[in-house]
Amino acid sequence: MRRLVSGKVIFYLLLCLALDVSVMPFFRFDFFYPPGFLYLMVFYSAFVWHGRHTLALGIVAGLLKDLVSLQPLGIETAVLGAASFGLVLMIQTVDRESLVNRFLTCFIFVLSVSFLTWALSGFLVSSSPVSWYPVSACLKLAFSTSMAMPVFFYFTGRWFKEQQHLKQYELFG
Amino acid sequence: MRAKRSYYFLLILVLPLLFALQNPQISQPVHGISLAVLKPLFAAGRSFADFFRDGRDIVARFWDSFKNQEIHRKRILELEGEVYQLQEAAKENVRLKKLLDFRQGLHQKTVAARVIGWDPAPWRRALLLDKGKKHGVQENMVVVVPEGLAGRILEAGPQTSRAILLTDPDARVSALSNQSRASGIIAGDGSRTLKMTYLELDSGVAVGETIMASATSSVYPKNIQIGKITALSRDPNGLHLEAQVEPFVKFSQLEEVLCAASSPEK
Repeated sequence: MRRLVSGKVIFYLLLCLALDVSVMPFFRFDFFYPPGFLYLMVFYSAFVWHGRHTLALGIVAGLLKDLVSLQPLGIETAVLGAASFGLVLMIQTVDRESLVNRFLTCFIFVLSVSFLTWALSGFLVSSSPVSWYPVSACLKLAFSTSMAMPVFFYFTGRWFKEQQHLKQYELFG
Repeated sequence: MRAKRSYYFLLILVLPLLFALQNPQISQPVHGISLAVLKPLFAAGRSFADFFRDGRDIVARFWDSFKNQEIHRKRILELEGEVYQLQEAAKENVRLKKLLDFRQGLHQKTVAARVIGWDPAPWRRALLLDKGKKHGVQENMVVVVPEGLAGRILEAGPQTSRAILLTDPDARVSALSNQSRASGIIAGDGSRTLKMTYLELDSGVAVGETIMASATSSVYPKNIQIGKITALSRDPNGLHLEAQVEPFVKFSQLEEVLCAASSPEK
């Protein structure tokens, strides 16, 4: 069982944070929003590590985003923690090997996290009027993150030296 | 079972802590310290992004050379690489000289800063700068570039600071048109363009007018240019005019900025 507090995991999380904050925003265009690598890391832990450490990773990833964001401290942590918990429950009912399922689950996960974060921060703090732009930004983020998921899974699997598991058919009681 | 119990325990411990962190007196120092610790990571990320963009252009040039100059391929590639590096250095020189000339024209105290990151939320338009209180950056300093007003400093930590851009949904500036002297409020919505609201119906404002920061603003120095009006319409209530403003500043291409104090140096 992979340990959460290991040099490899911590380094990879920091790498994802640097990509999200310092590297990918320079490649943002009108029609394209860069993928969220921290979201992909949480998603990877749910689908490949079978939900182990997903909740803790979700909280840590949310905390890292909160520390560098203008959002009120704690909002992304709470939302990502809750969404990770929901993701752990959801993966027990879907076929984790199906690419379509992975894409759809990733899309829903990222869209719900970003949308809830925007809604909560607007409710708690922001005085700006509601517009459609944040909604379209959340949709673009969810789409680009889902599209980047297969590539991210491949490189992350290589980084953590994951072995291919034989497909097991689980019996649902 | 034990793992699930520990997760619930973690949640019960984390949630009150998160509520306690809403107090600005606690959250601001936490932000400042954590950004100071993470600053080297983001500076390295910024250098990697620059390297990656340079590499992409080098690859494009390499492919052209391969197709057209097969016999002298090696020599041409070497020369192109050298020329490209010189061109990048020259572009940076022009950019920095422009910033220096602009800085010398300002009467306010200024601090030059480099953009090392962006707010990760997709609807926010906020920058992370590599200068903080130790370098002279203070809260509510305005962020300017030679093209015009870019935003203001929202939080200043010891080593880094965060600036909110005019295109952020929470940014507001009192503004004035240069010809008709119509006053209004500039607001962002997260997209590339700005909106100027609360323009009087009989103000005489027209498309093509330049918008500047107004003297009534307590944060932004007056007469710094913001953008140009591209469209006019009535607001949904029909009581005021709204203007679409195309900003002069290319916010997505910001690399170096000047943080200027609001009032002139004595």
